Amino acid sequence: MSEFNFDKLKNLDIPQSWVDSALDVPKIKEKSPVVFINFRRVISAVAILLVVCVVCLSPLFFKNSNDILPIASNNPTEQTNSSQYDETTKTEAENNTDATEKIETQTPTRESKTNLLTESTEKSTDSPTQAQTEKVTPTKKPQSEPIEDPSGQPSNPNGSVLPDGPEGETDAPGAEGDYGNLSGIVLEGFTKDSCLTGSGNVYCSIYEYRTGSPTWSGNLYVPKFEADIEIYYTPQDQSDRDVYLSYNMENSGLLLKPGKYRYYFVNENGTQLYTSIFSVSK
Amino acid sequence: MGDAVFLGLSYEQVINKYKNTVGAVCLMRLKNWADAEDCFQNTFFKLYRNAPDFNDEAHLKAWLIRVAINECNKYIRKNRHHAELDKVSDGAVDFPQGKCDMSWALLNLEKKYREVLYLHYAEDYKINEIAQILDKSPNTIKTLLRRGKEKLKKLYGGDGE
Repeated sequence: MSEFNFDKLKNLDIPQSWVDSALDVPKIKEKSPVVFINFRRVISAVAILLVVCVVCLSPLFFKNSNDILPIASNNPTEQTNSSQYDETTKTEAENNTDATEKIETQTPTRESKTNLLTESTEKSTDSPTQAQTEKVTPTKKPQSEPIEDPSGQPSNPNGSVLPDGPEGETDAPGAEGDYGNLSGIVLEGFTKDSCLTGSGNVYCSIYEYRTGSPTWSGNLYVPKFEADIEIYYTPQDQSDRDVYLSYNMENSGLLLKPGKYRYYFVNENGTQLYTSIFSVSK
Repeated sequence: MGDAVFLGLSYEQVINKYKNTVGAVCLMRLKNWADAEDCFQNTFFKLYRNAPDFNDEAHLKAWLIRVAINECNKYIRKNRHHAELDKVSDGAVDFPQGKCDMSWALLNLEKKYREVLYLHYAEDYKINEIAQILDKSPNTIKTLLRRGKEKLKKLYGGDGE
């Protein structure tokens, strides 16, 4: 054991300024404790509240719409009109689901990610895209038509988002052809090691925050201890290790318009590991 | 400063106790004082922010080493488009060549050998412990250790044990 002597390296004279700086960091941190200490908890609490609100309020919306229609249509002609309206909306909805199916068959990779994301919500909806949309921006779904958006923003197999879709599409944030600056944007997240199945894939999906339309689904391969993953070592309890996920947008080759986006990290079993929001500026 | 306590040690005491270990790991990885300082600070900041529950001091030390390595890796990733850090010589750590001390030789080895040799010889970690810290198999560590020793001897000019 003593054949090599690394005393100089072992007994480094660490400058006092290093120690002072390390001690100063918590001081700075304590000045803004909300941002640093409770950030993750606040996000998760808000997310839980949103889900609870959506679950509680969505039956009310449906109930109200059913109540209003019969009252508004007292005479038979109006009733037939309303029934016709129902039928037309039904067929429109069917057309929409057909459209989404077509879209999904065109982009099978996205479908698989979508399934992963919406495994829990698929029971109540036929279209995974719709379910996904509800999950991202549940309160805004009736106004926007996110189903049409995927066709407008096709993603190539490399994951990069192609420029604008068909003419007339105005849902995308920012001006047409004007892409935001992705430098310095790193999508980050935390999860427990037990949520990852071995050295596998983590999927990173990005959605427009306002419309909820899927913008990009990427296959973020995260071998442990390598490029995009970082594990804080806790040897006593392997399953409880904190895993840091990150995806550097700068190197992703994506073209995103300025605006707000939501991203998800999902593991191979479809379990959502982490979600948060980021903004792209000009 | 914060009142965080880790196994009965205050944050400041932890820094003073493990500054050499963390500093050496960062320097070994980055070979540059300025870069190492950033990672040094980030490592202790993460300790403060995450405040994990440690079972004993060995656990704490291993955690710090692991996080320091992670921080260095992250730093290299972020700066890889600027320059390969290993190739940067200006401002790099420079130990004078000495007969007894081989720190200078260690820093001139390939990165994969540096950590293993340092943890084994300077921090007195056993092969299984190094394997746990670096998340590699013990056999890999054994191989790295053996080859690293050979390379170190060649660099040092020695002819064996």
